[in-house]
Amino acid sequence: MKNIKDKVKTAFENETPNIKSKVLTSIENEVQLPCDAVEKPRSISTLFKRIAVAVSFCLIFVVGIVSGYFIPKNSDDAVPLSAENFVYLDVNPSVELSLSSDNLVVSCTAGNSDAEKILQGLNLSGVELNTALSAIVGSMYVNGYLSLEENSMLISVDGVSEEKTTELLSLITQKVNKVFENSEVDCSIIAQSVKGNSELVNKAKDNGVSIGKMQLIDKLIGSFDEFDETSVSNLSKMTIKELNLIYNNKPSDDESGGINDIVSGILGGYLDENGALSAVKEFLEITSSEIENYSVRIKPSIIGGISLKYQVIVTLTSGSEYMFEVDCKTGDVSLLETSPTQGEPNQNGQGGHHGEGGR
Amino acid sequence: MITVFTLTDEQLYTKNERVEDLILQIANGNKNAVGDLYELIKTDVYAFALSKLKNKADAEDVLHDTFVNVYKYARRYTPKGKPMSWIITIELNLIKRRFQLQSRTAVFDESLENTVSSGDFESQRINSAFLNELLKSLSESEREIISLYVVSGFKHREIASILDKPLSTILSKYNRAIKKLKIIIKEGEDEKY
Repeated sequence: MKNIKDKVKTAFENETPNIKSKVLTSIENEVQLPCDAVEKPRSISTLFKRIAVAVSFCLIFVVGIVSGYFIPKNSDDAVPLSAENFVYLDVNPSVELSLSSDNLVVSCTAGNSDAEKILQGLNLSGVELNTALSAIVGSMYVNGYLSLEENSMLISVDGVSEEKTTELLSLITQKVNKVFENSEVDCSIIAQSVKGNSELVNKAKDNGVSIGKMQLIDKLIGSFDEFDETSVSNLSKMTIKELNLIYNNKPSDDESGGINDIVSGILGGYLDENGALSAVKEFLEITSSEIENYSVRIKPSIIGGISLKYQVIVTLTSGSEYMFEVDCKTGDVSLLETSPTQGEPNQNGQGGHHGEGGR
Repeated sequence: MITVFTLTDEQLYTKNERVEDLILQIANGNKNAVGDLYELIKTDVYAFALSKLKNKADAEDVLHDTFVNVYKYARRYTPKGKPMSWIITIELNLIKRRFQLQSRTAVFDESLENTVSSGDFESQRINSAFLNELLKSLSESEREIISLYVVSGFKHREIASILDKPLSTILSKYNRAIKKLKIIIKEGEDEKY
């Protein structure tokens, strides 16, 4: 490995031109720009930030309700709106919006009891999509379904055409991101197009989930060897955040199918890959410089219910290789394997490291 | 031949400190510090540009413009211990602008091979041929990750942050690139480069 790195570095060094004098000549005619004149805003305490966030979401929520009741949208009441496009918003509340061709809400349906709670008091029929989204997302926040720890949303669109689906996905994603823009809650969004064929609709109905969530589950079953059709019921019970964590760590060579993009955000409440690696470093009592290479992959287990663990493979500069499991929530580390050149791990599964930085 | 090893955390920290110190000197109007900075990180900057653009002349332009912009914007640099990330971001913006101006499809620069045939030392010919194969065989994202990790000594997580991609993507692409490089080296040994 070191030989490869040396070779790459030497090759680039040999090709690097010497244009130092040209650079120095050029800067003779350049004027340095002054520091930014804009004064940085004073940092405020986390508490005040949280209050500010809550207030802003409450405002969004209230504006949404007021708009929902008092702002006329569909002035031509004689002509009922017809639903052409369908939007599914899943956090744990699952909301289904049907939209007219000009993005007015035809109907807004709660897909589960959590959604009934967040839609309570909201009359969104005939409301513009943007206003409806503000109200729904605001209500999700106010009711505690979106927070620093619970920050994942699945947006699924079943449009009348591919162009319309793309347009709606982009519009909704931008709007949801906009709602979160000035808050400390970083919403992690998965956006996908769906086609509500009868098989998917029935499967979603049987498992009590939206068709958007059902499609995501199907995708995960296709991506992970650990899952098969018998996993559907367990996966259906998982929150979008948990599914997002698995989806975020799907094999990199796996094509994303109908799922368009992970738009933004970092999942709260779980160890990220770097955290998993840090847990392993702590377990082995080593520093980064002793690691030659590593990989971190989510390893969902369905034995006795689904648990989420990272599989971390670490190769040390000493040549030793280890495979660990790290619990995504607790950070607990279990040693699974060591390379054949290493001694057997202790009875308690610890202490397999004999490298320079070992205990 | 110069042999350089991958920097350890401690060495990288020292390099980062030196780079940061030089940027602050530049911000104070010390033009000589631009020359010192050039000597210190010219390969980092050039390697990243060549990895992205696959064209020697364009990469040289970006190398030049990056240092000019570092001089220009040095007063706006906020010392946070990540000066190389700041410089690579400046460079990335220059590269993006170049892509916007030209066709998005990079044209592979045959002049690299011409350089090889100019009758230089054998070791240089071998290095150039290897680089040539690297640029041809690795994808753009694999090349940029290799240059940032191997040449500049960034950590995978830092690369993920700079390139705005998930860490798992960076890791898998890095591993894939290393596998390809092993094959290139093996074939090179058979073909004497």
